Amino acid sequence: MNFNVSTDSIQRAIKVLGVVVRANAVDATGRILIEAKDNSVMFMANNGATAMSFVANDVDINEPGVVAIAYSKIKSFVSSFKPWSEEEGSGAKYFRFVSTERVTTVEVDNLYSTGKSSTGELKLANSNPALIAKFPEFEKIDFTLNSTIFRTATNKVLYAINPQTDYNQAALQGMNIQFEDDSIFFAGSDGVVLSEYQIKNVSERIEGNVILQYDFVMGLRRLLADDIPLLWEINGNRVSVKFDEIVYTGRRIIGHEFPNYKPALEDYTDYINLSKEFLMGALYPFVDVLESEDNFRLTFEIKDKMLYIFNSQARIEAEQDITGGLNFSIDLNGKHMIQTIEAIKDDNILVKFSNSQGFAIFDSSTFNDQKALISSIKKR
Amino acid sequence: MKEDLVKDIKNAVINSEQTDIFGSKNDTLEEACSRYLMFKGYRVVSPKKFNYTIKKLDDLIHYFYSLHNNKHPEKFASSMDLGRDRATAKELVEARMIATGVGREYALNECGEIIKTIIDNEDKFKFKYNLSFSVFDQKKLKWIIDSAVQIINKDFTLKEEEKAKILRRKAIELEDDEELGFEDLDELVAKLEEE
Repeated sequence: MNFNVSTDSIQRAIKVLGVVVRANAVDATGRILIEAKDNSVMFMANNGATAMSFVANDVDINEPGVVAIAYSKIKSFVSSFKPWSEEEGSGAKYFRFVSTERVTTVEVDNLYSTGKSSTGELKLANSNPALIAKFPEFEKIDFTLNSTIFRTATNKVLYAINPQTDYNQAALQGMNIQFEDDSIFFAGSDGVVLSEYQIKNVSERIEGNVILQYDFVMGLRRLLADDIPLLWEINGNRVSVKFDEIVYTGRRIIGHEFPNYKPALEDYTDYINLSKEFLMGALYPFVDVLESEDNFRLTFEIKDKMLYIFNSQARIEAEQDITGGLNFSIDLNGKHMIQTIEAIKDDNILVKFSNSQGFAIFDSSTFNDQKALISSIKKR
Repeated sequence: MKEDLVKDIKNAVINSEQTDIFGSKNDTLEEACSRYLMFKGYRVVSPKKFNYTIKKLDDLIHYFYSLHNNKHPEKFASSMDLGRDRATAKELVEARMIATGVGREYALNECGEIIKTIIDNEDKFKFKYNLSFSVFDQKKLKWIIDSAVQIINKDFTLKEEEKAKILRRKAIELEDDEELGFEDLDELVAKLEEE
């Protein structure tokens, strides 16, 4: 195998593959596969749960071939050279990869702004490329999502998911994307708190849902730039997302239904409208006095047009525009409460409730598209 | 070890106070308490599962009369003093709750089991008079309930031993073709004890 690849491409490939590669692993999950054929070079990594390919097209292939090398050995070498700049007339234009049966040599010529030059060379032991499982090529687009929207949705939902949750519902270990009429609902829950984000579906009309594994979603978030179209393919238990030169693949959770949480979001008798600024200002003082040994308990109480937020150590009392005669008290996990209110992007927040043994429901007052639900802690 | 078990109970109590949205949270308190009791040498047995759906005192009374009338059509009880029977049933259920520390729902079903046991084993009790709901009177006839509970426990132990025997046989069949000689071992232990 013998090819040249632009510095931009190889540096980007190495950077994005870091999301999937287990850099400290000595087995195949710590290696990358490099395959040069036709007019492109594919860099690929697979950690068993997620996989990624990066296809570089600004390459010059002298001899096709395929090798596997340790990611941790090449990362620093490739990343430390400045890419070529026409304006400055300095940098490294490309990296040259030359492989023999046992060794791959990576070479680079670098030109400094002073006019002086340097060369670099890295020798890497080849591993068996067959040990890095390739995944099927991206074939069809099932739906499209904008990267900014996806990132906003995950910001709203991911805090509510605990992938280590020991609940009997395996579906709760992932993020649910539900396509319904003209809307897409993103939802996550650890069984105590639930968060949902609703957007209008402007792309392909599909029905049903897909539950993405938490690790896959976290990896995808790290890869995304703003405002690029993400092309999604769902094939069996596999989900693939294609954007730019990247195809990122993971598994979806199948065989488990995401619980029907929607009726709970509508189960309330009263509500109040509070400013987010006020709520956050009232909750932050509790951060250091929330007791982990008491479920981070915080009492949220409405009585005689006053709002009281307190626990055994601190107390906030505030006069609010609350309808007379509305009395209510509920104990909630204070950490979940802060995360929930932080995640809602609006100046005003609706707090809905019915009884102290039930739930507190939070939503954007203006858009009604960022619902969340926190279940109560039993009062003592 | 003991500290860890106590810590597990404490954490389970904290978790039990947090309600959950889908009602599918694992109840770790029961498990943590069982582990602690077993550590202390107690034998922990899962609660008996009843096939009845006795939810209130009247269900208990009607259960008695339906079993009784079914067994003794010739002594069919065409009338009953519901007020008196309710008072007797109430005392019976409360007595079981105090004696065993169980909740009302479990106690109601346990009383159902007691009723069935007394009717099924009527001859063993050698009643002088026709069987009526008054046999559950706690003030005068507590011994009847105690005897019925003894029969239930004996049956339960026998069933558990039978289950263990079946499981042991299955394990031997799965693990090895050869007889492990557990039965002989029991005999050997008995002989050694005699000596």
